[in-house]
Amino acid sequence: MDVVTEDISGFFDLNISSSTQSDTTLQNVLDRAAMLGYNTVAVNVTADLDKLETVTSKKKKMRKAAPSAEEAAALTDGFPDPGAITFTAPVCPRTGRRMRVLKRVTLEFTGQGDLSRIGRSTNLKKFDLLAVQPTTQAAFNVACQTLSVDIICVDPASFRGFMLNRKLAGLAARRGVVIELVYAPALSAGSVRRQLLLTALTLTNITIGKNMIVSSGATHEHQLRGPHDVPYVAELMGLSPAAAKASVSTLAKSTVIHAVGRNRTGFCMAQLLPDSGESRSGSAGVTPAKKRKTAAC
Amino acid sequence: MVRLKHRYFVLELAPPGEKAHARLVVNEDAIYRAVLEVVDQIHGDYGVATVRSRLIVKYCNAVTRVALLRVSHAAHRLLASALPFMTSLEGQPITPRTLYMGATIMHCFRFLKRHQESHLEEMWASADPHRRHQMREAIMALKLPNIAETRGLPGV
Repeated sequence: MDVVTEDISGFFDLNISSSTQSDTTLQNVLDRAAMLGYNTVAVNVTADLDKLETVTSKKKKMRKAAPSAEEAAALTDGFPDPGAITFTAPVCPRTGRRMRVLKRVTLEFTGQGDLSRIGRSTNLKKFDLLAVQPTTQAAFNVACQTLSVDIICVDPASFRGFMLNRKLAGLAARRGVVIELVYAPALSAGSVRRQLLLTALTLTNITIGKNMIVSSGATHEHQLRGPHDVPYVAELMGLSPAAAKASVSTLAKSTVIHAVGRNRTGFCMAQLLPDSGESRSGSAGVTPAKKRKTAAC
Repeated sequence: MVRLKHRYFVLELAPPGEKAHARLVVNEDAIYRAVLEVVDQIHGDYGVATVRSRLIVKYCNAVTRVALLRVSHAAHRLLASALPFMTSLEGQPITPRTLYMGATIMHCFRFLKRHQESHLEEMWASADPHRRHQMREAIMALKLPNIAETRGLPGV
């Protein structure tokens, strides 16, 4: 998907679960999102980084089992495959254009495993958005400080004890990493809603309501709410009215752009040497690009 | 000068899933009670008291599943933040969606008219030819009463 050249304005819902409830399909949820007026949505796959099979252990197993050619082809790096998510992008009724459906992966991690796997993985590169869900204080620190991701999301059910402080939040904001709140679990009354609102209010207190996006986390089309309703839910979660509006539009947009910058660009190095007078061809002094990928891939 | 400020909400209360085109069994009173219930869940007694002071369900349409609520300007944020949490109406599962929010009933009326017209066009396009023919016949056979005559206005 060429996000760079396309106009990506409008409303965003950056978390629609790929594993839907049994009585509906992902396609239904996407159709409903288009009907409600979203222009860009992201289909989310969740994986637990600590439970994923590592490449080396898989290779070892294969060596033992004397693999056939098919098995060798099926060797992946253990991360979920974005190609497994299938859908057809519905047409937005307002604009008449196809809805932009991105693919997103959320990695749960405790901060103890080998995090360099994230950067090495080829499967993860195929996802448009990369989110992490830290479950411990150490993981939170790593996610805010160093990890090259787009979104940090918090599971309200397991958010107890560890804290994000304002310094870490500011650091994440400066790096363009946003913190995500989901509203779908809060739609049913009871302790889940209370816990979710408590978590949301705690987080907005620390971040002063800045740099937070609100998305659905919907597993059923019933759980989606319109883009004009979500800002009011966001206000309930402690965001200011302006931040609440930005959380489904401009901030989500900058998250998508950040993801493009992280994922689809490379580094290029050029060195200019002093003119020695012998070779005057322009390209002689410039070393070739060290690592380069075009943004249009 | 306007002393009492109001906000008007145009809501769509659609049943989810395949029954999306089903007729909703609903009346103004049921919507009123469901709205107050969800405000009670989210904002408690204070919220209910604030919202209820000037809450009125002005209009609802079972076919297009649209309702028009009026609430005081002071309470409209309370109501707007509670409405997305509405999941059922008289035991029927529904998904609320705010279509329009206006400060005068006139603007809401204009919006509603446009909305109903587009809904009608949609229904017309999706109706089968036989039914369409029947409807066309029925409309052509309509005999409009002379309004001036029925109201006993002068100049008849």
